[in-house]
Amino acid sequence: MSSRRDLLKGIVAVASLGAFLAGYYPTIEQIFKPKRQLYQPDPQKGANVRYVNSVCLGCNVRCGITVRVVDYNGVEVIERIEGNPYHPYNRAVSYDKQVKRYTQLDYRTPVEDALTKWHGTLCARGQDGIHYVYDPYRVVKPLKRAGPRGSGKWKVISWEQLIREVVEGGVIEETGEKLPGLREFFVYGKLKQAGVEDPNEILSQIKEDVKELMNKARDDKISYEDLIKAIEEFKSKWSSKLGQIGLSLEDVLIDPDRPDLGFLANKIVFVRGRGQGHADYFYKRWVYALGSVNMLRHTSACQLGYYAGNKLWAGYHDINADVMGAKVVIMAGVSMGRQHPGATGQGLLIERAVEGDVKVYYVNPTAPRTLGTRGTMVWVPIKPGEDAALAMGMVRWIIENNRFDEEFLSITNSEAAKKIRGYPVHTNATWLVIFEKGHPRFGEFLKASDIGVEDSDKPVVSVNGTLTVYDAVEKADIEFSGRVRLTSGEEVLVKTSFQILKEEAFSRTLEEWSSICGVPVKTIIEMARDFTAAAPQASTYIHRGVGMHPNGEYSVWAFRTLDILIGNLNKKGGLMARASHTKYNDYLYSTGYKKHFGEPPHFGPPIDRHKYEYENTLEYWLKVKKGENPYPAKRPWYPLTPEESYTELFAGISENYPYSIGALIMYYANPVLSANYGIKFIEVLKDTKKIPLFIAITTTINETFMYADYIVPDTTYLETGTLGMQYLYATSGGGTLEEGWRSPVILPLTEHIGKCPNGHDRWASMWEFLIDVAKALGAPGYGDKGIPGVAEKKYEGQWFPLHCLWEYIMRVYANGAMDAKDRGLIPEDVPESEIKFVEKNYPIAKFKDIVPEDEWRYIAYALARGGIFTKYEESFDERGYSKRKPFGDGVAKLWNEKLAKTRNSITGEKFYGGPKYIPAATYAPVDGKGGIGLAGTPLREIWPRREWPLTLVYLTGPLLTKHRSLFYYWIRQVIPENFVLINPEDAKKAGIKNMEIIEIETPYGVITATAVVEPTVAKGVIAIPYGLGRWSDTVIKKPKYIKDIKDPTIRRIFEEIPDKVIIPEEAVNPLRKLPKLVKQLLFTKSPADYYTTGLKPDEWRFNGVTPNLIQAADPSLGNWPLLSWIGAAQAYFITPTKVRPTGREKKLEVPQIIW
Amino acid sequence: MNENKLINARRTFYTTLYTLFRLLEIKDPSTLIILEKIKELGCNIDPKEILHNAYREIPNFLGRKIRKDLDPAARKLYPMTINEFYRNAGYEYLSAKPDHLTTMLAFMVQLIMDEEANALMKREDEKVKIRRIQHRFLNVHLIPLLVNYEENDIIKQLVKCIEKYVRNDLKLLHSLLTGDDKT
Repeated sequence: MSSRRDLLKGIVAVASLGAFLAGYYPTIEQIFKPKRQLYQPDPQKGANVRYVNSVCLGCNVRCGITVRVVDYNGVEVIERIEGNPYHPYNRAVSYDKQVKRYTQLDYRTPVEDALTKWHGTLCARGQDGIHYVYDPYRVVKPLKRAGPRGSGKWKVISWEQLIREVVEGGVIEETGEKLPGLREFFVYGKLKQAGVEDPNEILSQIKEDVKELMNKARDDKISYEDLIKAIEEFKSKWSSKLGQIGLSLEDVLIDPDRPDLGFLANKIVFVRGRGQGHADYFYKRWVYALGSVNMLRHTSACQLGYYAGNKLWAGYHDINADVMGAKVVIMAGVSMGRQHPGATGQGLLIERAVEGDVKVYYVNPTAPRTLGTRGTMVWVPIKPGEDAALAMGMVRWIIENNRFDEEFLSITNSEAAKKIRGYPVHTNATWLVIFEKGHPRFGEFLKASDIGVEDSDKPVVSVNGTLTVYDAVEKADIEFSGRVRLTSGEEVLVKTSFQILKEEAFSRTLEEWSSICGVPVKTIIEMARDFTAAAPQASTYIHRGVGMHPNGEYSVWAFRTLDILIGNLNKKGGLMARASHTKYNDYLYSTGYKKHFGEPPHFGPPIDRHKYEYENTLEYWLKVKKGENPYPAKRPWYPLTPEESYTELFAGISENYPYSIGALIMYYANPVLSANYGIKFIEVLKDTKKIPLFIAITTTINETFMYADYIVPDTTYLETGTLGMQYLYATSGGGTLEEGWRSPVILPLTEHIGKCPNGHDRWASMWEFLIDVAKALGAPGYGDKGIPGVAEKKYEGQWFPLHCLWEYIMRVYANGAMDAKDRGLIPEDVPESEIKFVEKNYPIAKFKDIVPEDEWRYIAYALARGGIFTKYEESFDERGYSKRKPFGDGVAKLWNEKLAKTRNSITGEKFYGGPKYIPAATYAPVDGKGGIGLAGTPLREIWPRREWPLTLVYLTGPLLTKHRSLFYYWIRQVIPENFVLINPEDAKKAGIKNMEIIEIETPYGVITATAVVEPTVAKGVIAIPYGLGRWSDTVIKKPKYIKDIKDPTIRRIFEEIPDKVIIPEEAVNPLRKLPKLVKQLLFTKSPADYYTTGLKPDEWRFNGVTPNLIQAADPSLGNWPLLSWIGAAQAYFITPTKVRPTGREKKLEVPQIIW
Repeated sequence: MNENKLINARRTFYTTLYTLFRLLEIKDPSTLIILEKIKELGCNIDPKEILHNAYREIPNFLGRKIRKDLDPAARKLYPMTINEFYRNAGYEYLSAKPDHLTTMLAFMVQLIMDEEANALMKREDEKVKIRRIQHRFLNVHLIPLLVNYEENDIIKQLVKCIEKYVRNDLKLLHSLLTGDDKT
């Protein structure tokens, strides 16, 4: 131990030597510029400037934003977007201290104080949101196709014509094509028109009869003939009843011979891409009002493998690491700066790592953007699709070295967990599973009734070898394998879930696991050691790179097994799900989609067959009753996926399976570019027989929407787009209740379409389009009797009008605010200054008369802060457990019985019910090549490495999104084009030089890209940053980087893309009114006609390449884009590839590569 | 020693080191005097050999080359990483080698000069903040650079000696920040 004086001695001694160098002292001040203030108050604050706290939509993370709007002689201009210091993701900074903070500003801080003293950080993409609004290519008026589909010819129509033709049907005058109207499929309306006072009564009866029919189908005693007879009786009954009102079965049902497919309304399919908050609830409500089951999302192209994997082990889909509190994080398949909490919030994790507070293992074939400097950010390059092998290696080491939480695993039930650990979460590690190979009940839990201890289905556990019911004891054996005699007399092998996991992990040596995943044994051990040493403040942080593979769900589960082993669930630094939110849909006004607005009943499988069992269809039972093998089904069914699939949407439409559709309404999406091999979808999009009516709701006409019949102009998130509450994804910053509130920063720049009956203005947007269509159809829940009051609350029995967006969204805000007030989050006595601030600054205040004054004041308080937020520090109890409720069903599963009983709907094989390493494979066997039991042929057997030595992956990051990136004008200056990253060793083998243009060939096509030779990508992998390589964004520019598309049909359709679009100038460009100087400053790099006409193709905007066009498909399923087996997630990280040099070079526009 | 003198000593310490390495880079013979004095302080070095080797070695005293403890990818990005540190601390670096030993030493001088200015103006919060930045910079960049230097055995002797002094300065800073006189 030294004193300060001792330490100083040596320093002074060296310093004194400086005397000898005095004449040589250079001017050090010239090396560094003088210190500057990074964060400063807005110098423009004062007249003509207003501020709105809202929510970002640069990506889907939902950070807070503070937006500055300046008034230039009556023209409002969004000039700056910064972070909202109240929001948990934005890491508030005070102007006084200039010190980075981890937590947000106290929620009760007066909004004027926040504005003058605090700053919130925000990523570059969020700041560039200005160019989303001011995009010359934005469509501002309704358009109708004026030539064949995909011809690029459009004409402007009025809002009224748009609504009329969408509802009643229209004609493409230039081609003579007749388009159906939605009324054709709106069964509720048909019954109303036929004079039925309450259509829901008849529809409910039909639904009940179909339910009865399905009960018969499942009845062993019912024969094939009996079932056919029952169907005929059903048809006869309803043919007669409907006939009495002048309708036929075909007017009501999709297929009278297959009534289980549901009502005709299922032919209306609504699909959204990026969905947020109340936009999502609003169109779901609309779809249900029309009586369809088909409300689909883009999740398969987002993070469905991660969701589906979590659902298997936790019963809940969105769970991740608490990066605020963890000491060790296994960050696997997470693109740094992209996964929640996003580029802004993830800065926290990076900062913590740099400061040595957390050690991060970045498991990814591509390097993180920073590795810190003290060894706390470790890159673990891994072979794509082999993640489960790494996890299993770690599991093996942890079990072998007894580094797991044995007490936690031995707890058998919730009550015991509460008593022993103080929190009601436990595992099923002790539950016994029937593991007798070939036994019909293989994979099912051993039940109390099986061994005669109780007449119930309760699982059985072993206590020192004695079997008992799981809730009769608090703890049981985690390791047990033995034979048990059942009450039926047969003897079966049973094992605990833990035993099965252990045997799986021990089925290979560490060296073998290492060889599969490419991670050295030393690293596997180091990871496992660090992870367990920090337990329970250690957790896995998982995203697409793990989940979006054919075997993705098993890999996610394998990683999550690590968390289960150390017992970190719902703990600080461990795994957490989403925070709770206010009752924003049903506190006073019923604004949700689930009930009480008179919606017609709906049933039947969705077009993509998600969350629906094949074994619950008449198709299945008719085959079974006939004595036929029900497998294969025509296409897979996905009963265990939590959300929807792009591939199966389009494949289903293409193959009319399970039925043909009538109308596709697509909102804010671009599946052609956001799914692997999504180019396959244009085959369907262009076919007017497959999609008789295609309506696109959008801001620009992208590669998917160029095939639409009608374009509905939409607003961006800084206007009225995706308004309302925005829940936050896991872990939501760790607080107990977190929700951002998005409100308009400016009023819409789309066409003004008249007034609401209450006198308020309306502009073209998704909201107003759906309201007007619903009103024209006479759908329940719209018009004068739109929104009901919530039962047992002050508005019970009352109805409120829904003629325009404002009447909906103001009541949503009222729900959230009044709930927050009653929870004590918003003060009872809201200071007048807060209300005045909102009324002075926020456009939404114009509509405050829609709600009573005593609701508005609380709404204003939350709007002023951009949401309702609680603090991380206050969200854990003294034991470190989250104050939130347990996520999912509170049972962390090492075995999932439901999965073990589910069959692959092509092969008929059962899936394996636990975490396991299984190589990536097709869904079914290909060309007679051996399957792997539950799935098809391993990809590398179809496309061997000797022929396809590399694997193509894409990168997303903090700068670009998948396809909504073109308009980020400032970001594009940093990354004007993209490239392909290749490891120096692979480049050497292929004879490729840095900056050489290379050909990239996959089994599905060939593209060219500039090679960047860097060790930032693992050997055997090439990576392309995503988001560029576009060819349609209202304007069309045919790409030159595509050398071959191997499917001749797709190639032909692709070649038919026109060279240019024909759109009236008046239909685009919301910038016209902006001052000239503002436009020049917004678009410093472009000629004036780019932002004056809105139709000039900008060479720079369409550059780069997209790997998506040639990514992998599944040859066992008609070469539709490859999916994961269980979740139907797009498998876009595993395309076998080879590369060739061309000898040509290209200098990148920006030499310093930032990706 | 009062605070002003302490700060002054530390500033001169880093300025001396900075100047020493700059002069070694141009093979300036006057550095022999300094090296001899350092030897007298107890460092096991050979001044002549150092002077003979330094003009070849010092120009390559770059984090991107020296920091073998980092992944190859991290090493490549190291100049960007350290530049980010300068920026986050509120400074703009104006030359081409942000990861060079002399740049890092100059940065320490710059920080101490700012610390001095704040101390004179009695801006305690600012002063402490700058000390924290110094502490972090030593921990994260400067000391790891010295620790990982393996390129030339002659120069390494000098580097190891300097590392010892810089580590002492880190302890001193820690003591100033925590108020703990014993470290």
